[in-house]
Parts: sequence; C-alpha cells; structure tokens
Amino acid sequence: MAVGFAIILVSIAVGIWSYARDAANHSYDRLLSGAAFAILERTLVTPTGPSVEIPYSALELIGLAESDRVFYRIFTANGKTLTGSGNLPQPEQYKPTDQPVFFDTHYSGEDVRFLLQGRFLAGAGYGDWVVVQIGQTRIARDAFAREMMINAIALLLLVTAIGLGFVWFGINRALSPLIGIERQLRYREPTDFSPIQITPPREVASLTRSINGLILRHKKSLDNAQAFIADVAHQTRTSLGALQGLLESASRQSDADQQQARIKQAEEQAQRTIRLTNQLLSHAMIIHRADNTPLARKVLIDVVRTAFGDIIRDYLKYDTEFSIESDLAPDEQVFVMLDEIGIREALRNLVDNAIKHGKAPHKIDILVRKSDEKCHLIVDDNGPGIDVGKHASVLERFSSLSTGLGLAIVNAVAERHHAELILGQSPAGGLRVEMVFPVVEGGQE
Amino acid sequence: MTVFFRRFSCVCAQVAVLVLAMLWGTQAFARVQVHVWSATDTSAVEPFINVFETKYPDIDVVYREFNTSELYQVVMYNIDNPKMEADVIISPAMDLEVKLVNEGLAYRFEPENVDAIPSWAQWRNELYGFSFEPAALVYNKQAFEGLESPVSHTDLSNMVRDNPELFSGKIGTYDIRQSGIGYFFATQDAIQNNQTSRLTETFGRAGAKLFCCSSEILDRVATGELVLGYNVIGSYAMAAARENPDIGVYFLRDYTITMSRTAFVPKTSKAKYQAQLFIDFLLSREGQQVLANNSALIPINQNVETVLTPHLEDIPVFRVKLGIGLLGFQDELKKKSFLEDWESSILWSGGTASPSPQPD
Repeated sequence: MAVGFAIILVSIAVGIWSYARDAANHSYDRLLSGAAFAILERTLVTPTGPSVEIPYSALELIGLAESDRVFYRIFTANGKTLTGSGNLPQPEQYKPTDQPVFFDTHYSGEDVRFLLQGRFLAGAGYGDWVVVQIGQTRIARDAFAREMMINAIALLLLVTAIGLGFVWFGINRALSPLIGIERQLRYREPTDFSPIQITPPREVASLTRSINGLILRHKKSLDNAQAFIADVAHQTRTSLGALQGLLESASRQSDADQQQARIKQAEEQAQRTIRLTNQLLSHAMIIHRADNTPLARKVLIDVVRTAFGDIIRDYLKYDTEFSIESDLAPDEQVFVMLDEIGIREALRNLVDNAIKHGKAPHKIDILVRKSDEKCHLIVDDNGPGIDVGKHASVLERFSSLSTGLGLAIVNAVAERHHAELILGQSPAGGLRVEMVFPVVEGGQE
Repeated sequence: MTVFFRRFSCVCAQVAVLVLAMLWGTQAFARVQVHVWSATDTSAVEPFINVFETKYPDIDVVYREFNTSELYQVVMYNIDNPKMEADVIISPAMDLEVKLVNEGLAYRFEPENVDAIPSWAQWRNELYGFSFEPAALVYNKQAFEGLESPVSHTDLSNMVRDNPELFSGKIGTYDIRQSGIGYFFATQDAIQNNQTSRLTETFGRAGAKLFCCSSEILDRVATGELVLGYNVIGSYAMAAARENPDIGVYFLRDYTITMSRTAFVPKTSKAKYQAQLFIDFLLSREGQQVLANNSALIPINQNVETVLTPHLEDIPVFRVKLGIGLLGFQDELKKKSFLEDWESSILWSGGTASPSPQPD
C-alpha cells in the first residue's frame, strides 16, 4: 500500500513539475515576446538596407528576470546579422515567420531559452524578412517552477498528512468499541454467559447483538448438554439398578420356576435398558446433527418411503399393519429441506412407541399431505393415545408418562426442520403425530 | 604592491614598481599574486591595496590601470584565453561590466559582506558594486562668481547659451567615443532627460572641448583653462576640490546620475580564492572605511561617513541599476547611431577631441 501511495505521490509530483515548468515558460516567454515585438517594431528600411534601433525598454523588459543573462541577434532572411551576437544557435530548418518559435538549448555554459520571431519588412524597393532572436538563461524560470513545485508538493504532503491523520483517528474511533468488546471477552470466566455490557455505536451494535446471541445459544446448548448428561446418568443408573436387583433376586431364589421368572424379568429389564440407551444415543445424534449437518433439499414422500422400508424390517416380528399414503398427484413433487437420518429416527421412534404402548394387532398409518405452502407428515397409531392436557409435557425428555425419549426425539427433529409438531387423536383412537414442514421453491428438478 | 601603468596611446609602455617585493625580499616569490585590472586611478586605490596587503601578507596585488573602453576590449578579446592573468576586474562603466558578465566571463560567488551592498549595485552574484559615485558638475569658482546656480539640466543649457563669452571654448566633457564611462553617463542622460540632445548641442555651439578622463578636465578647471566640466566622476571631483580651492563641485537638482564602480572575478582566474578575499575586503565595513578615509573613492555602504554625506539630502540621486537593461545602448547599431547623433551635435562648431594619455 505504501508503494502504491508513493507511486501516486511521484506521479502527482511529475505532473506538478511539468505543469510548473509550463507555467514558468508561459510567464517568461511573454517577456521575450514583448521584447521581440518592441524590437521588431523598430526595424526599418534605410537607403543602405534594413536596420533596427533596439528600444531601451525592450532589454529593460527582459531584465525583469533579474539574474538572467540575455543574448540577442537581429538578422535578415539570408542570415546576415544586423546587430547582436552572430553565433547564436539556430533551430534546425528555421524559416522566417511572424509566429514566435521557442526552443531550449545549452549555450555559453548555461541552459538558455531562445525565441525567434520574424517580421516582413517592405518599403523603398526592399522586401524581406527580418528576424529577431532573443535568448534568456533559465535561472528565473527554473526558480519560479521550483518554487511552484515546492509549494504544491508541500501542500500535497500537508493534505496527505492531514488525511492520514483523519483516517487514523477514524479507524481508532471506529475500532474502540471492538477493543472494549475484546477486553470483556478476554477476561470473561468460562461460566459467565451474561451478555456483553457495552453501549455500542451504530456500526457495531449488530456485532454486539450477534455475539450476545451466540453466547445465549452457547449457554442453551451447554444447558441442554448438561441436562441431557444428568438425565442419561439418572436413567442409566436407575435401569442398571433395577436390572441388578432382578438378577440378585433371581440368584437368591431356590425355586427353579421363581428363578426362571426373575431371569425373564431381568432380561426384559435389560432390553428396556438397551432400548433406552439406543434412544439416548439417537437423541444425542439428532442434537449433534442439528448443530453440524446442513439440511438437503428432498422430496418428503420419497424420504419417508425409504426410511420406512428400513424400519418395517426391524418390526416384522410384531403383529403390525403398516400403510403409507400420499394425497399428492403421482407426478407432483414437493420439496422440503430435510435431514434424512433425522426423519428416519423420528419415524422409528414413533413406530417404536406405538408398538411398545399399544396392543397387538398394531396399526400404523402414515399420510403425506400438502396444503398451501406446507407439507404435512402424519403418523397415526391405534394405541392408547395421550390426553390433550399432557401433550406439552410428553415432548420433554423422560416425562412422567415414562414414554422415554421417543416423542422428545420427534420434537427435536421437528425443531431441527423448523417444522410445527402437532399432537392429536388418530381416527383409530390412538395418537396422531403431525409434522408440518415449510415447502421450498423450485418444485421440478 | 606591483603597479603597471598602461597607457592606451603607448600600449607597450609598462612600468613595474616592485615596492613590496623589495620590502619582503626573497619571500615575495612565495606569495600569491592577484592581478587587478582596473579602470580606476591608481592613486585612488593605492591606499586600499596597501591596507589589504598588510592584512593578507601572503597576497601580492599586481595592479594594472586601464581606460574603461580599453579594459573592456582587452577582456573581451581574451574571452576564451585561459592565459588571461586578470583575477579581479574593476570598472566604473557599469554597462561594459554588465556586458562582460553577460558573456559568461564572471565567476559566481557570494562575498561575506554582500548584505551591505544595495541590490541595485549587484548582479547575479557575480558583479559587485563597491563605490557610490554621482556624476558632478565642476566649475572654476572665480569664473562663476556672481552667476546664479542652475537648478536643472535645462537651466544649465540656458545658462551656457546666455553667456557665450564666458563659456566659449571653456567647457570640458568626455569624448564619449573614447571613454566608456563618458558614454555611460551620456546614455543615462539620454534615458533620464529628453532635453539631453539640446544640452549637447548647446555645448557644441559653445565649442566644448572633449577629454578622455575626469582628471584632464579637473586639471584644466583648476587652472581656469576651462570654467565648466560636465559629467565628471563625483568622487574624483570632490577629491580635487579638497586640494584646489578654485574647483567647485555642484550637483544639479533635477537628477544626478549615480553609478557604482563594480568588480568581478573572471572565470579564468588562477587565484580565485585570493581574488574573493580582495572583493570581500573591498565590500567589508573595514575596507569601505579605508576607501572613505584614505582614498578619493566614496564607499557604497551608507553607514560609512563620507565627504558626500552632508550633500546627500540635496542630491536627487538616480542610481543606475545593474542588469540587462544596460545592454540597450551597447548594441552596435544603437551605439553607432547614438554616437553619430552626439558627434553631429557636439562637433557643430568644430569642438575638437583632445586625446590625452591620462586614464579615467
């Protein structure tokens, strides 16, 4: 950046120098022109040929450039010198003209700027050009140009310095709230989740809000994890405690039938524990995926069919009737942002719940429906259902109904998909679980 | 000090007076010689040179005197001659000095005491004026008894016209064809006063005599051979008046051309440092005081009391400024026509030039 800035400064300086030189030349060329005019005005034809009487004022005029030396020559078209220094340098191929011709050259040890200007002199049978050549050393011009240059550069540097000062000031001012935020964050205890206390200027208000939002989400996530770990610890300990109790009781039974019954109970308890562990891991996976895996744009009914195929295979040993229906036209595709694994876990838990809490023969109906900009996934069972008053509480982990984690997992999946979760009653008198997904645009693909 | 008298009528006649060489014996050969070529009366600068040599015992000033025009021609002729031995060139003819400097002959340097020199008397840091010399009228007091003093140049012209019996053949002025300083005064007169040609013509009618130098005119005014001398160098006139009570010095009240004797160091000088010391001392307060006290020259430093100081209030001095403007009348064609005009006026009734061997 400094190099770029230096290049800009140098190009401006070069521009100023050429401008200053031009300006100096313009100013002092007028002196030369004025003198040349004054001299040409005094050229005349005498009986012996052309002659000139150099007016005193002409040289006085050039003498306004006080320290400069002056050379002049007045000559005719054929090169005959009327007066002045005969050996002045000439531009190449000069032809007398009444237009001024300026050129710079080195003469008599100094840089000299010359002017040639002609006048056609006629009278008394004579007609020819008379040319006046005046040269002036460049001392005053160069001093003038240098002064202009120095002043302009000084001004430029001053403005630059002031500009940089403003930039520095502005950046410092703009960043000072960030420094405050940084200080607050740096010395923050790991357990401190209070929002950043700062009165931010407009520019960083949204940043502060975002950071505070992040802190809140982080706190929530951490709270969730802590609660989850507490739940897991409690549930696992309880289940394993029960299992151990049953096994101890079985070992103490002398009666073989009683012992067999106890072992059977212990086996059931072990299965419950396995199921509970699976659910806990499933739930943890859903939460984890929600934080890490992006949703993909998919057709809901296709995902449901695929997932359901897998699930049914696991429940073939139960007496269960499954059905999947869609009220969409066969070629109509409705896209939803989905996490395929999440949907599968939700369905698996609903089926698992229905089979676990209901009585055989089980009946589970899945329905995909579209309304307005929403897509509904409905799962009906013929189990005992849940009272309306308890709908809110069953969505939490380890509710009093001891439904385990099933509906909590479904709830987490719904949240993950920004879907609405509605509990209701199925036509068969069991539970109806309805997830309402927002539809994304760009149907056909 | 070594002095060469060089007379333009007899170029080969050079008299070397090795005054200090004799005093210093063999040591003299180890000293650096500074050749001063000057159009100034030797007697006027001798006291100054003596003080300078006392102050700088290692420097031997070799002084050579010229007439103004002659000095100009010698220097101009040797413009490219590296063997030219001059180290300091001094002349009262400011226009000729400017012309030489304009040719690029001068070495540029800034003397220590340059601040004491007014701007009109220096040019390009090359040419420095050190004296203050108005052009004066000198008159024979006895002959002028009872006459009313003229106020202006026009009054002077009328006075000469009205008193033919007094002035006929008894006016002396420069032969400006021979004298550079005479030409310089005459051209400055022409610039200042458009009645100048009338005055010249009046002088011509009165049979004015023409001289090469101020001293010639002063000598003749002293004896009464002339009653009026016009445009005599004021410093010489006042010095002469001090010695001869018959000489009166008068400055006209409309304007008085005032020039400064100028000095420069030529680029070809082989003793530039010593030449600079010479000019430094010339411009210094001490050197200026020496000029005021011991010589006929009037120093330019206005803080130094001089014979002219009491008169300064009455004299409307016109200081001629050093610069390119002075080249105007040095143009060949212009000079030729100016001299032709002057000749036809001054020689009207056969005024004759009186070549003289004395320098300015």
